[in-house]
Amino acid sequence: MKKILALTTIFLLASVSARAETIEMKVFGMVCGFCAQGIESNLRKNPATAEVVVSLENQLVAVKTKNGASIDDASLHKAIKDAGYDLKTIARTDRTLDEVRTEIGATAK
Amino acid sequence: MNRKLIFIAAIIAALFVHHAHGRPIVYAHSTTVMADFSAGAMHEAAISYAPRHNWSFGLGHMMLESHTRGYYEDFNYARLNYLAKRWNRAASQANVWLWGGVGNSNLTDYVPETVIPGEPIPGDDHGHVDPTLVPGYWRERQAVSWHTGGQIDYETRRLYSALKSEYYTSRLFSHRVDTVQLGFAPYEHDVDSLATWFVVSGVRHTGGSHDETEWALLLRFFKKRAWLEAGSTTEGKLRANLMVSF
Repeated sequence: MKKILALTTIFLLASVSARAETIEMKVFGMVCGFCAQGIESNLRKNPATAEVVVSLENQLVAVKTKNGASIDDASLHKAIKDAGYDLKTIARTDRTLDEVRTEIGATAK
Repeated sequence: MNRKLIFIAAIIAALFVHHAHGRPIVYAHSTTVMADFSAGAMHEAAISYAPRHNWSFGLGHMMLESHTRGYYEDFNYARLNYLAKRWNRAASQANVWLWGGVGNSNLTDYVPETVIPGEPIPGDDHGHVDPTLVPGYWRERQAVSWHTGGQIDYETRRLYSALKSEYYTSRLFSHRVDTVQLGFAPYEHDVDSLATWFVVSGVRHTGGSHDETEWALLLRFFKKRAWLEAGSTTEGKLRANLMVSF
Protein backbone atom coordinates (compact mmCIF):
# COMPACT_ATOMS: atom_id res chain seq x y z
CA MET A 1 0.00 0.00 0.00
CA LYS A 2 2.84 2.33 0.97
CA LYS A 3 4.56 1.56 -2.31
CA ILE A 4 1.45 2.48 -4.30
CA LEU A 5 1.09 5.78 -2.39
CA ALA A 6 4.72 6.66 -2.96
CA LEU A 7 4.52 5.90 -6.66
CA THR A 8 1.30 7.92 -7.00
CA THR A 9 2.93 10.86 -5.22
CA ILE A 10 6.01 10.71 -7.48
CA PHE A 11 3.80 10.48 -10.56
CA LEU A 12 1.72 13.51 -9.45
CA LEU A 13 4.79 15.58 -8.64
CA ALA A 14 6.37 14.68 -11.96
CA SER A 15 3.26 15.65 -13.90
CA VAL A 16 3.06 18.98 -12.07
CA SER A 17 6.74 19.81 -12.72
CA ALA A 18 6.43 18.78 -16.39
CA ARG A 19 3.61 21.23 -17.05
CA ALA A 20 4.11 23.96 -19.58
CA GLU A 21 4.58 27.43 -18.20
CA THR A 22 3.05 30.65 -19.48
CA ILE A 23 5.17 33.77 -19.19
CA GLU A 24 3.35 37.08 -19.61
CA MET A 25 5.48 40.18 -20.18
CA LYS A 26 4.60 43.84 -20.32
CA VAL A 27 6.68 45.42 -23.07
CA PHE A 28 6.95 49.12 -23.92
CA GLY A 29 7.52 50.62 -27.35
CA MET A 30 5.53 48.15 -29.45
CA VAL A 31 3.71 50.36 -31.90
CA CYS A 32 4.70 48.83 -35.21
CA GLY A 33 3.89 45.27 -36.23
CA PHE A 34 6.69 45.19 -38.79
CA CYS A 35 9.33 46.00 -36.17
CA ALA A 36 7.77 43.80 -33.46
CA GLN A 37 8.44 40.70 -35.58
CA GLY A 38 11.85 40.61 -33.92
CA ILE A 39 10.29 39.77 -30.54
CA GLU A 40 8.66 36.61 -31.79
CA SER A 41 11.72 35.71 -33.83
CA ASN A 42 14.09 36.09 -30.86
CA LEU A 43 11.86 34.21 -28.42
CA ARG A 44 11.33 31.34 -30.85
CA LYS A 45 15.09 30.82 -31.00
CA ASN A 46 14.97 29.69 -27.37
CA PRO A 47 14.63 25.88 -27.32
CA ALA A 48 12.23 26.10 -24.35
CA THR A 49 9.70 28.16 -26.34
CA ALA A 50 6.61 26.38 -27.60
CA GLU A 51 4.42 29.33 -28.68
CA VAL A 52 4.50 33.10 -28.64
CA VAL A 53 1.67 35.64 -28.66
CA VAL A 54 2.34 39.35 -29.19
CA SER A 55 -0.28 42.06 -28.72
CA LEU A 56 0.52 45.67 -29.54
CA GLU A 57 -2.89 46.70 -28.18
CA ASN A 58 -2.15 45.25 -24.72
CA GLN A 59 1.63 45.83 -24.76
CA LEU A 60 1.80 42.12 -24.03
CA VAL A 61 4.16 39.35 -25.03
CA ALA A 62 3.15 35.88 -23.83
CA VAL A 63 5.28 32.77 -24.15
CA LYS A 64 4.21 29.19 -23.61
CA THR A 65 7.15 26.99 -22.73
CA LYS A 66 7.56 23.36 -23.66
CA ASN A 67 6.58 20.79 -21.04
CA GLY A 68 8.99 20.88 -18.14
CA ALA A 69 11.03 23.70 -19.67
CA SER A 70 11.47 27.24 -18.47
CA ILE A 71 13.11 30.47 -19.60
CA ASP A 72 14.99 32.54 -17.09
CA ASP A 73 14.43 36.28 -16.66
CA ALA A 74 17.84 37.20 -18.12
CA SER A 75 17.07 35.38 -21.38
CA LEU A 76 13.68 37.07 -21.60
CA HIS A 77 15.27 40.50 -21.04
CA LYS A 78 17.87 39.79 -23.73
CA ALA A 79 15.29 38.64 -26.28
CA ILE A 80 13.17 41.76 -25.81
CA LYS A 81 16.18 44.12 -25.73
CA ASP A 82 17.64 42.59 -28.90
CA ALA A 83 14.34 43.29 -30.58
CA GLY A 84 14.68 46.94 -29.55
CA TYR A 85 12.05 47.14 -26.82
CA ASP A 86 11.87 47.66 -23.05
CA LEU A 87 10.70 44.78 -20.85
CA LYS A 88 8.78 46.22 -17.89
CA THR A 89 7.32 43.24 -16.00
CA ILE A 90 7.44 39.44 -16.08
CA ALA A 91 4.62 37.30 -14.68
CA ARG A 92 4.65 33.50 -14.66
CA THR A 93 1.07 32.33 -14.66
CA ASP A 94 -1.02 29.18 -14.77
CA ARG A 95 -3.15 30.48 -17.60
CA THR A 96 -3.02 28.70 -20.93
CA LEU A 97 -2.02 30.66 -24.01
CA ASP A 98 -5.54 30.16 -25.34
CA GLU A 99 -6.90 31.91 -22.24
CA VAL A 100 -4.46 34.76 -22.86
CA ARG A 101 -5.55 34.95 -26.49
CA THR A 102 -9.22 34.99 -25.50
CA GLU A 103 -8.62 37.84 -23.04
CA ILE A 104 -6.76 40.00 -25.52
CA GLY A 105 -8.93 39.01 -28.46
CA ALA A 106 -6.06 37.63 -30.51
CA THR A 107 -6.66 35.00 -33.13
CA ALA A 108 -5.30 31.53 -32.42
CA LYS A 109 -2.45 30.33 -34.61
CA MET B 1 11.95 27.27 -47.95
CA ASN B 2 9.80 30.36 -47.29
CA ARG B 3 12.83 32.28 -46.04
CA LYS B 4 14.70 31.38 -49.19
CA LEU B 5 11.84 32.59 -51.38
CA ILE B 6 11.53 35.85 -49.42
CA PHE B 7 15.28 36.39 -49.70
CA ILE B 8 15.31 35.80 -53.46
CA ALA B 9 12.24 38.05 -53.96
CA ALA B 10 13.85 40.79 -51.89
CA ILE B 11 17.10 40.64 -53.83
CA ILE B 12 15.27 40.75 -57.16
CA ALA B 13 13.19 43.72 -55.96
CA ALA B 14 16.32 45.49 -54.81
CA LEU B 15 17.95 45.00 -58.16
CA PHE B 16 15.10 46.48 -60.11
CA VAL B 17 13.93 49.26 -57.89
CA HIS B 18 16.44 51.32 -56.26
CA HIS B 19 16.58 53.63 -50.85
CA ALA B 20 14.08 53.59 -48.35
CA HIS B 21 12.53 55.87 -45.82
CA GLY B 22 12.07 53.01 -43.44
CA ARG B 23 14.27 52.00 -40.59
CA PRO B 24 17.90 51.10 -41.15
CA ILE B 25 17.77 48.56 -38.28
CA VAL B 26 14.77 46.42 -37.50
CA TYR B 27 16.08 44.07 -34.78
CA ALA B 28 19.25 42.20 -33.77
CA HIS B 29 20.41 39.49 -36.17
CA SER B 30 18.03 40.67 -38.88
CA THR B 31 18.76 41.35 -42.52
CA THR B 32 16.79 44.12 -44.20
CA VAL B 33 16.47 44.82 -47.88
CA MET B 34 15.19 48.27 -48.78
CA ALA B 35 14.38 49.66 -52.19
CA ASP B 36 13.09 53.08 -53.17
CA PHE B 37 11.94 54.47 -56.45
CA SER B 38 11.16 58.11 -57.09
CA ALA B 39 10.45 58.71 -60.76
CA GLY B 40 12.65 61.31 -62.37
CA ALA B 41 14.60 62.01 -59.19
CA MET B 42 16.12 59.16 -57.22
CA HIS B 43 16.44 55.38 -57.10
CA GLU B 44 18.12 53.49 -54.31
CA ALA B 45 18.57 49.93 -53.10
CA ALA B 46 20.28 48.80 -49.93
CA ILE B 47 20.83 45.66 -47.94
CA SER B 48 21.87 45.72 -44.30
CA TYR B 49 22.57 43.29 -41.47
CA ALA B 50 22.11 44.18 -37.79
CA PRO B 51 24.39 42.27 -35.40
CA ARG B 52 22.72 44.15 -32.54
CA HIS B 53 19.51 46.09 -32.10
CA ASN B 54 21.32 49.42 -32.24
CA TRP B 55 23.63 49.18 -35.22
CA SER B 56 23.83 47.64 -38.65
CA PHE B 57 26.07 47.69 -41.69
CA GLY B 58 25.16 47.41 -45.28
CA LEU B 59 25.77 48.00 -48.94
CA GLY B 60 23.76 50.13 -51.29
CA HIS B 61 23.43 51.78 -54.64
CA MET B 62 21.80 55.13 -55.31
CA MET B 63 21.20 57.08 -58.47
CA LEU B 64 20.10 60.70 -58.69
CA GLU B 65 18.99 62.12 -61.99
CA SER B 66 17.95 65.48 -63.36
CA HIS B 67 14.52 66.03 -64.90
CA THR B 68 16.14 66.50 -68.30
CA ARG B 69 17.80 63.07 -68.10
CA GLY B 70 21.02 64.79 -69.03
CA TYR B 71 22.73 64.41 -65.63
CA TYR B 72 23.18 61.32 -63.42
CA GLU B 73 24.95 60.78 -60.10
CA ASP B 74 25.57 57.14 -59.19
CA PHE B 75 26.83 55.96 -55.80
CA ASN B 76 27.92 52.52 -54.67
CA TYR B 77 28.48 52.63 -50.95
CA ALA B 78 29.15 50.78 -47.72
CA ARG B 79 27.27 52.23 -44.77
CA LEU B 80 27.11 52.03 -40.97
CA ASN B 81 23.74 52.74 -39.32
CA TYR B 82 23.46 53.57 -35.64
CA LEU B 83 20.46 53.91 -33.37
CA ALA B 84 21.74 56.74 -31.16
CA LYS B 85 18.73 56.91 -28.87
CA ARG B 86 15.37 55.24 -28.47
CA TRP B 87 12.52 56.14 -26.16
CA ASN B 88 10.09 53.28 -25.60
CA ARG B 89 6.82 54.25 -23.96
CA ALA B 90 3.65 52.23 -23.36
CA ALA B 91 1.99 53.44 -26.54
CA SER B 92 4.70 55.28 -28.43
CA GLN B 93 8.27 55.12 -29.62
CA ALA B 94 10.77 57.81 -30.64
CA ASN B 95 14.20 57.33 -32.21
CA VAL B 96 17.34 59.16 -33.24
CA TRP B 97 19.26 57.45 -36.07
CA LEU B 98 22.65 58.33 -37.52
CA TRP B 99 24.49 56.84 -40.47
CA GLY B 100 27.53 57.40 -42.60
CA GLY B 101 29.32 55.71 -45.43
CA VAL B 102 31.92 55.75 -48.14
CA GLY B 103 31.98 54.52 -51.69
CA ASN B 104 32.63 55.38 -55.27
CA SER B 105 30.54 57.79 -57.29
CA ASN B 106 30.06 58.15 -60.97
CA LEU B 107 28.94 61.41 -62.53
CA THR B 108 27.55 61.24 -66.05
CA ASP B 109 26.43 64.46 -67.69
CA TYR B 110 25.57 65.65 -71.15
CA VAL B 111 27.75 68.49 -72.44
CA PRO B 112 26.36 70.71 -75.24
CA GLU B 113 28.81 71.11 -78.16
CA THR B 114 28.22 74.75 -78.86
CA VAL B 115 27.12 77.28 -76.32
CA ILE B 116 26.73 80.90 -77.30
CA PRO B 117 27.50 83.10 -74.29
CA GLY B 118 24.41 84.94 -73.11
CA GLU B 119 22.04 82.82 -75.23
CA PRO B 120 19.60 80.46 -73.45
CA ILE B 121 20.32 76.75 -74.04
CA PRO B 122 17.28 74.82 -75.31
CA GLY B 123 16.11 72.18 -72.82
CA ASP B 124 18.20 73.60 -69.99
CA ASP B 125 16.97 72.83 -66.45
CA HIS B 126 19.14 74.16 -63.61
CA GLY B 127 22.23 73.80 -65.79
CA HIS B 128 21.33 70.29 -66.97
CA VAL B 129 20.72 70.01 -70.68
CA ASP B 130 18.11 67.82 -72.37
CA PRO B 131 20.17 65.51 -74.65
CA THR B 132 17.29 65.17 -77.11
CA LEU B 133 17.26 68.93 -77.87
CA VAL B 134 20.88 69.98 -78.07
CA PRO B 135 23.83 68.43 -79.93
CA GLY B 136 26.55 67.39 -77.56
CA TYR B 137 28.36 64.47 -75.96
CA TRP B 138 28.21 62.39 -72.78
CA ARG B 139 30.95 62.81 -70.20
CA GLU B 140 31.70 60.36 -67.40
CA ARG B 141 33.78 61.03 -64.30
CA GLN B 142 34.49 59.03 -61.14
CA ALA B 143 35.47 59.95 -57.59
CA VAL B 144 35.42 58.69 -54.04
CA SER B 145 32.28 59.85 -52.29
CA TRP B 146 31.19 60.21 -48.70
CA HIS B 147 27.79 60.49 -47.20
CA THR B 148 26.23 61.05 -43.81
CA GLY B 149 22.72 61.37 -42.52
CA GLY B 150 20.35 61.32 -39.60
CA GLN B 151 16.71 60.79 -38.78
CA ILE B 152 14.43 61.54 -35.85
CA ASP B 153 11.05 59.91 -35.68
CA TYR B 154 8.08 59.53 -33.36
CA GLU B 155 5.22 57.13 -33.75
CA THR B 156 2.16 55.70 -32.09
CA ARG B 157 -0.18 53.16 -33.64
CA ARG B 158 -2.12 55.99 -35.27
CA LEU B 159 0.45 58.73 -35.93
CA TYR B 160 3.87 58.72 -37.55
CA SER B 161 6.31 61.59 -38.02
CA ALA B 162 9.88 61.64 -39.23
CA LEU B 163 12.54 64.15 -40.22
CA LYS B 164 15.52 62.95 -42.20
CA SER B 165 18.55 64.68 -43.68
CA GLU B 166 21.26 63.15 -45.86
CA TYR B 167 24.36 64.68 -47.40
CA TYR B 168 26.42 63.19 -50.24
CA THR B 169 29.72 64.66 -51.32
CA SER B 170 32.68 64.01 -53.60
CA ARG B 171 35.16 66.20 -55.51
CA LEU B 172 32.65 66.22 -58.38
CA PHE B 173 29.45 67.23 -56.61
CA SER B 174 27.54 67.54 -53.37
CA HIS B 175 23.92 66.75 -52.85
CA ARG B 176 21.62 67.11 -49.88
CA VAL B 177 18.26 65.41 -49.42
CA ASP B 178 15.93 66.55 -46.60
CA THR B 179 12.76 64.57 -45.98
CA VAL B 180 9.73 65.17 -43.78
CA GLN B 181 7.02 62.56 -43.39
CA LEU B 182 3.72 62.72 -41.55
CA GLY B 183 1.49 59.67 -41.39
CA PHE B 184 -1.97 58.78 -40.13
CA ALA B 185 -3.45 55.31 -39.69
CA PRO B 186 -7.23 55.02 -40.08
CA TYR B 187 -7.25 52.08 -37.63
CA GLU B 188 -4.85 50.52 -35.12
CA HIS B 189 -3.15 47.45 -36.51
CA ASP B 190 -1.70 44.55 -34.52
CA VAL B 191 1.13 42.11 -35.26
CA ASP B 192 -0.93 39.75 -37.37
CA SER B 193 -3.07 42.27 -39.20
CA LEU B 194 -2.40 44.44 -42.19
CA ALA B 195 -1.33 47.98 -41.27
CA THR B 196 -2.55 50.80 -43.48
CA TRP B 197 -1.19 54.33 -43.35
CA PHE B 198 -1.69 57.54 -45.27
CA VAL B 199 1.60 59.39 -45.47
CA VAL B 200 2.39 62.90 -46.69
CA SER B 201 6.02 63.14 -47.73
CA GLY B 202 8.07 66.19 -48.62
CA VAL B 203 11.54 65.82 -50.11
CA ARG B 204 13.89 68.75 -50.63
CA HIS B 205 16.81 68.16 -52.99
CA THR B 206 19.66 70.66 -52.90
CA GLY B 207 22.76 70.46 -55.05
CA GLY B 208 23.95 68.46 -58.04
CA SER B 209 21.12 66.80 -59.90
CA HIS B 210 18.31 69.22 -59.09
CA ASP B 211 17.22 71.87 -56.65
CA GLU B 212 13.58 71.53 -55.67
CA THR B 213 10.98 70.35 -53.17
CA GLU B 214 8.76 67.46 -54.08
CA TRP B 215 5.56 66.57 -52.19
CA ALA B 216 3.87 63.21 -52.41
CA LEU B 217 0.89 61.38 -50.96
CA LEU B 218 1.69 57.76 -50.18
CA LEU B 219 -0.22 54.70 -49.08
CA ARG B 220 1.81 52.53 -46.72
CA PHE B 221 1.02 48.87 -46.02
CA PHE B 222 2.87 46.42 -43.90
CA LYS B 223 2.22 42.99 -42.52
CA LYS B 224 4.58 40.62 -40.77
CA ARG B 225 7.99 41.18 -42.42
CA ALA B 226 6.98 43.00 -45.57
CA TRP B 227 6.50 46.74 -46.08
CA LEU B 228 5.24 48.50 -49.18
CA GLU B 229 4.72 52.20 -49.72
CA ALA B 230 3.51 53.69 -52.98
CA GLY B 231 1.97 56.87 -54.19
CA SER B 232 2.28 59.87 -56.38
CA THR B 233 3.97 63.24 -56.25
CA THR B 234 1.97 66.42 -56.83
CA GLU B 235 3.38 66.30 -60.35
CA GLY B 236 1.94 62.83 -60.91
CA LYS B 237 5.24 60.96 -60.68
CA LEU B 238 5.42 57.52 -59.09
CA ARG B 239 7.02 57.03 -55.67
CA ALA B 240 7.44 53.52 -54.28
CA ASN B 241 9.28 51.97 -51.40
CA LEU B 242 9.73 48.33 -50.47
CA MET B 243 11.27 46.81 -47.36
CA VAL B 244 11.58 43.18 -46.31
CA SER B 245 13.26 41.89 -43.15
CA PHE B 246 14.22 38.33 -42.39
